[in-house]
Amino acid sequence: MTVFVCLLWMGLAMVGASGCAFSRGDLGTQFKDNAVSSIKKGRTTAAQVVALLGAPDSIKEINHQEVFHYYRYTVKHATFLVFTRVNIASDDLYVFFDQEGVVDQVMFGNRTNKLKFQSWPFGG
Amino acid sequence: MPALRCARMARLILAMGLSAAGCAPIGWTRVTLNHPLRPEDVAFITPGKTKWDEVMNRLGAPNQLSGTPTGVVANYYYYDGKYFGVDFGWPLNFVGPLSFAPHSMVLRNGGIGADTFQVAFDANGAVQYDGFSHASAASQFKSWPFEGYIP
Repeated sequence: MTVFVCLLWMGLAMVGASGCAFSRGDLGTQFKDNAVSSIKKGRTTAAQVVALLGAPDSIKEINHQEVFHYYRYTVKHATFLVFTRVNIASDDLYVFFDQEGVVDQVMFGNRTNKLKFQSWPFGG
Repeated sequence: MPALRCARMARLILAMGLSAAGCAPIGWTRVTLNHPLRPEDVAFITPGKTKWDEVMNRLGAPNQLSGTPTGVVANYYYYDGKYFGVDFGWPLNFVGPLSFAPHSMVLRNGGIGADTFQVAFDANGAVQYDGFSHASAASQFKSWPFEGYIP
């Protein structure tokens, strides 16, 4: 019985020492839907893209095309008792330009909108 | 180079998440970057037939695009980190004078696995090859940090 009570107190202390926490962090600002949708293939220029979204995070050359890459990351962390889970996701926006510096293609991947606060670390 | 920086940053964020496991006497921590793509999600891709637009429409923008001499390579990152730690000395916090002496006996272990999906396109935008990196085995909850039974 004494051992049981001792274990119970230890368990309660463990719970108290761990507790519960939620935190969130962002790297970069969220892409505005209207800013992304206002980039038009065959019309918008590189200067207008920079005016809308700011300077790109990186510039690549792919298949003789200039490509602006914008990205942001979001982190959601949750701790419940002794279980912690940290979920991270990124949004990526690529803007391809033709030889005249006009938008040829826009690709946007939004993964942060599905990011959840989870604490259970097991399973999928 | 920026792509390399992006990958390094992702790993740094993962490492920071793993190190922020807290001060509980025992703890399981999991850190993931992005959602995993499953084989059924990419089953529609047939090398030589599937085109760039179809892949981008169905999978979304990749995390990394790189130009190659023959075309483009797109990477969809998925990292999964698992970490377990236990402090065997923690119960001594409740044992009178011993609680004032150093008494931590902490074992921690963790690993970060990757299962990045990579798809390469030729100069005409047709898929050349696609595949997963299959390097997720490093991600396991393990407590014993030593190679053998003796440290």
